[in-house]
Amino acid sequence: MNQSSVRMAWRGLWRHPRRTLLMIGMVAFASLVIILLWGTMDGFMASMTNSQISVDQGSLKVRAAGYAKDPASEHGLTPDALSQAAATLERAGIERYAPRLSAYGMVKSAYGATGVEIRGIDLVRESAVTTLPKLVVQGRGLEEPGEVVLGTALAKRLDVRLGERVVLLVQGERAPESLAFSAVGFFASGIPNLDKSTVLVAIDDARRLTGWRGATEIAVALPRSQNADKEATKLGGLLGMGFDVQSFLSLNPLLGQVLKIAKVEMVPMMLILALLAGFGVANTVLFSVLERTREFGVMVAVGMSPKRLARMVETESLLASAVGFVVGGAAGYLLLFVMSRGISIGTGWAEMGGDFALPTMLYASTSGWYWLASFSVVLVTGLVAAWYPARRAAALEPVEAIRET
Amino acid sequence: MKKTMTLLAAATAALVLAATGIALAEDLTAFQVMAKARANWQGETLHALVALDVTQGTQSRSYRVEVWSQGETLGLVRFLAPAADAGSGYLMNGDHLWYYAPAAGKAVSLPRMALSDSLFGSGPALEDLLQGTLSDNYDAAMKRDGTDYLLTLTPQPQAPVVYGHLDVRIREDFAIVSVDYYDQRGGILRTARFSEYLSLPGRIVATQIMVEEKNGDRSVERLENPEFNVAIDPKVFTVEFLEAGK
Repeated sequence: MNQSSVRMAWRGLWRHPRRTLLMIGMVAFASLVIILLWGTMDGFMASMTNSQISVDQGSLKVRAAGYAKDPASEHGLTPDALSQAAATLERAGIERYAPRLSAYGMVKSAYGATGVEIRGIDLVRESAVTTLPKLVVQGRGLEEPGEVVLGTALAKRLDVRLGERVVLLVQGERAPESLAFSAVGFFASGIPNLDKSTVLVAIDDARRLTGWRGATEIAVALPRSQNADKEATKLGGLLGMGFDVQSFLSLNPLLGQVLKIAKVEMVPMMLILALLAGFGVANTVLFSVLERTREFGVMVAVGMSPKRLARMVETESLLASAVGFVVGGAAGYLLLFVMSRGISIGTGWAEMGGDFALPTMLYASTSGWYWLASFSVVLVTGLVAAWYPARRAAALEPVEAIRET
Repeated sequence: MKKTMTLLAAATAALVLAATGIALAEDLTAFQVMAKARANWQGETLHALVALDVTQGTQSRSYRVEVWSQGETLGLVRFLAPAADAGSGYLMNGDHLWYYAPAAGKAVSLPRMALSDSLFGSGPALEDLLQGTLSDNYDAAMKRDGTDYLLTLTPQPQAPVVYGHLDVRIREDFAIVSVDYYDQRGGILRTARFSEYLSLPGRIVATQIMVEEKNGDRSVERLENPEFNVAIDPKVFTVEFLEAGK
């Protein structure tokens, strides 16, 4: 392809502006949709996982071996195991970790009662691992024993006001325990399941309630760039038998599967879009060739080789596709940029998320590699779609072509 | 003369005794009054038939249960009527709580915190039937209203109760007249009215308790032939006996 061919192809395109704009539009639309699909899918999946990791779960959890099979507090980490794990984490250079003691129990107010997760947190360390303690929207966070922070939805359901007493009940290690706590704050995490079924207390209070002096887990925060699964394997090796270290996704296999399937499903969708755009472009280019039979006949008659003519048709298609790619890509990324500021899906959809704990705000991703996915459209439309029309143009007999009216 | 002196001495003694009795009553602390009221209400053991009428909204249901209890750690409640519930029941033995339904064929273990749940969504909880209403989680202040004692019970700081305070009216014979449950905002949540008193050796027992919730739900408990401090066969407080209710 030389400069004169490109110039000729470009001029040829704009001699029929409407047809050219139609081709550009088809490619632009396909490019835009592909970029949007990838960006929103990637972003929304990341929103789901990142919100849970940063707000609630942490990147990794260190638990006692066997705890997963029977998650009762008495199967958790003993005080010695807790110390051993903490020391190992520090030696491995991990500073952001926090012990927790979680148990399922009941919270009672004067107006009702419901089952909850009672989460005992380390008042100093938890904030370095998750943002949940800081998401208090009314009142304040935990400062002393005997205090509880509830999700806003839970507080509303039980009609609990700041400063009022609630009772937490849990089936303890040896005997059921119930203690009164003062509600000092209400949190809004953006994850509806969390807001309506979790209460936070100091870990020592959770120990008094359950009779268990250790912890049920250690939550660990890792930098986002670090591979959590690899780190979990490494830590598991350092800690040895008696411990179980798992990443967030391995603890949530259903979510992990959904993420994988969503990505895999994108590929056929992308190909279908590319094919649709390709058929549209091929149809338009073919029509253009048929319409310009006489013109092509004259070109061949004055000395243009059939091969060069075919290349000109392909170049026209490539140029139109390239412009469409740029226009569609730019528009797609613009939309993604706007959507990366956050889209509220409301609590209805979030609550339907069930085990996935959908947050109420989802964010699109603006990763640069979506250009590559969209470029596949250009390849299909530009080259493949123009292949038949270009061959048809090359097979023209100049005399018959000139005679055609 | 001698006879007159004896009569005078006896009258004086009676007056002194009466005065001493009144002074003793006057000197009782709130805790002592509460303890006497609880002792009136709870014996070492209790065996009774209880008729329960529960009204929730526009629906009313009646139940008949048989209750055995011993101290604060042993208790069994067996439903006798209606037919749909007959044979089912709850057993409390120490830290363990079981529920049995004939349809299930086997008793299931419950978390002990189920004791504090209302049996029918409102009205008495299991612990109310087995252990009585007043617990020792409160500080008490007292004043007299005529011959009645008026106690205001305020939960102790760490006490696992959700009420703001309770107002308890107790007769001079330490029979409970009423208990009003208030929330932490001063609003009344529930009232319990005791009536139809029965004099038994060493106690006076209200055989009818009407509990009314803030939302209008109501339950009426009627004790029939209550027996206090009777010997109860230890086999009663076993899972086998619970399951024998079919």
